[in-house]
Amino acid sequence: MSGRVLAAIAALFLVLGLVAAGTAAAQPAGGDAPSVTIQATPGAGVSTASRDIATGSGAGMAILFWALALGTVGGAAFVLTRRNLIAAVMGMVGTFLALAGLYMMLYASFLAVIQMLVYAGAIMVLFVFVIMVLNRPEDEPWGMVGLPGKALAGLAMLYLLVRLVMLVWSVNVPDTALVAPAAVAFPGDAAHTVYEFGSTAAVGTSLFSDYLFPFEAISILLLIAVVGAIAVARPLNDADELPGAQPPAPTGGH
Amino acid sequence: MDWLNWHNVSLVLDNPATKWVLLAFGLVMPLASILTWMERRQSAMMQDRLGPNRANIGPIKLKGILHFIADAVKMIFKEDFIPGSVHRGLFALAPVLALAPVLIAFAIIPFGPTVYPHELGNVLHSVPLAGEAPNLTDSIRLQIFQVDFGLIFYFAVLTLANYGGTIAGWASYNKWALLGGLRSSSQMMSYEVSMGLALMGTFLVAGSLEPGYITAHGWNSHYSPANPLNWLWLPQLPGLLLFFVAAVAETKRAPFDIPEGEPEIIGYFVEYSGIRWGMFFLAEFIEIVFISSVITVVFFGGYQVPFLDEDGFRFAGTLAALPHWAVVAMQIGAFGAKVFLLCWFQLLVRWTLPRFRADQLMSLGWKLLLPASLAWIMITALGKLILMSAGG
Repeated sequence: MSGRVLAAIAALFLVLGLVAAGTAAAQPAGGDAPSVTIQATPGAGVSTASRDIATGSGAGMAILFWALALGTVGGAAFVLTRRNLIAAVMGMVGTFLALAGLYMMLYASFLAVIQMLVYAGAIMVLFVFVIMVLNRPEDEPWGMVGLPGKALAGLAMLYLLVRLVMLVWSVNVPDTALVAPAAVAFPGDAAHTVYEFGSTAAVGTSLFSDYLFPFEAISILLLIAVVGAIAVARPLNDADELPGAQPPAPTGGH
Repeated sequence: MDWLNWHNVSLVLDNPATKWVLLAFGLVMPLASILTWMERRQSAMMQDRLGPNRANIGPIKLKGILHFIADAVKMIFKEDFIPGSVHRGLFALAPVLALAPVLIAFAIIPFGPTVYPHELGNVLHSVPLAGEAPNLTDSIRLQIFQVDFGLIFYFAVLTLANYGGTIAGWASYNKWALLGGLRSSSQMMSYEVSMGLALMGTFLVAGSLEPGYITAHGWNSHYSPANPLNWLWLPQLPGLLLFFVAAVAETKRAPFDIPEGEPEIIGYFVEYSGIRWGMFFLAEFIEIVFISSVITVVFFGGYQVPFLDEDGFRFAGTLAALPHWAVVAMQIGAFGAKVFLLCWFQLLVRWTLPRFRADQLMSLGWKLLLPASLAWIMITALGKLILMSAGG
């Protein structure tokens, strides 16, 4: 067995190990509170404190945070340094996944899975698909080359960085904001509880009550986009179809 | 031996990592390996052949089950040939991307009830007897990752499996592999949509996305979840059919095996050999096990044994009491048996139906399954609305 195969298998188990550790630690402090508490068996006194390894110590959460932060930044750096477009896309998938982990640590669990499903999954698969079909990127339509271009780009990036750092510094997080959201009874079923913030039920409740109008407006906007995409993609009439799009008619007599 | 008590044992066993290792190496991997043999034997039976029946270790033959060991040994020691112009990194990454998501997704599957180790020898009464409080201080939950977004996690992780075939096709630097990768990508994208929508009806009825909750409560918390008539297959039969068709397409197996087309049209893993190809192969069989697990958990009551409550068999008002360990063992066994039967059914489908054409595949996905799942969500929502307004 060659070393590369061993490395591939080792990488697989590393990924799995990280995920196993992640599932252990990603359930935030407070035992089973973010999850549905199931009481199929009698006696509600199920000990939940021992369920999660990282609950007791802040060190586990800190290690997890730094691993995910490194993953986010490292993935982004990977995207920038790759010439190969598909490799760059895979770096971006890594960034999105690490970001989903960070959302999970912030109790925004529903947002985290949607991030995985929509960005790391659907959208990046479309990226891969488009790159594979087009195969070669178009050249930049215009661009400043040489020292002036680099200086301009550097200045713009510096400005952006300064503004971002200023913004981050200006945010003052009170200690009370660092407490885990409270667990509330699920509407209509007192037997199980969910978080009042970030859980599927909480997101759904606010989407369909406080933010109902924006939600419906966005769905109509997306519908318009879908209809528009189809209108752009289909030919106006048969004469517009590309030559060769139809298979040649069988001539017979082989 | 002071440390060896039920408290410490349950601490170790309740650790997600331990549970994942036990689940992956105790149930998933063995079942998937046996399936590789079973598929060939079953197809042989259906086609009036013998199939692989000769692998043996000395006199131990077991009707050829040992073929999977021979296969594994062969794949591990076969030459790992890498064509010259492949993209090395992505070529190595693709099999990992195919295999890892399926194994991760198993985290949300509840494969048994919660075990209370102190009460293993006793009957766990649903209403505790007077003067006898059950000791429930330690518990082992036979589900690794119990979260309120449950099955969305499955869809989120499985979209990542999409990259496996696509990247393999692209990294191989081979036109046929690239076309296979594109076929794989478009097929998986198309059927993921119907797959998610087909389960929406069950979420509406059960009121939760959490597979453990769906299993333990049935679709109505007023009814016993142990009665097979209370499982979701009955009220959600169209959802079950839609999900099953979409899920078989998602595993990329016949009649939906256009991305692979092993015998003739050549798929995305044409440049792979040895254990790297073996990882794609194993991923496919683990996906079969996983889809059977999801269908079991959502539609067929998961680990529930008909008429078996946590204190014993309850039938027509009489109770045949059973100790906790027997109940747990039977429920885990029931989960395994249901999963196995559904795996068998998927193999049966593969060897019964001929392959679709690529355009038929796309029109089935987008023009039939998608509208049908949307219509079924509407019907389910309407039914739930009527029931809710009638009930209160």
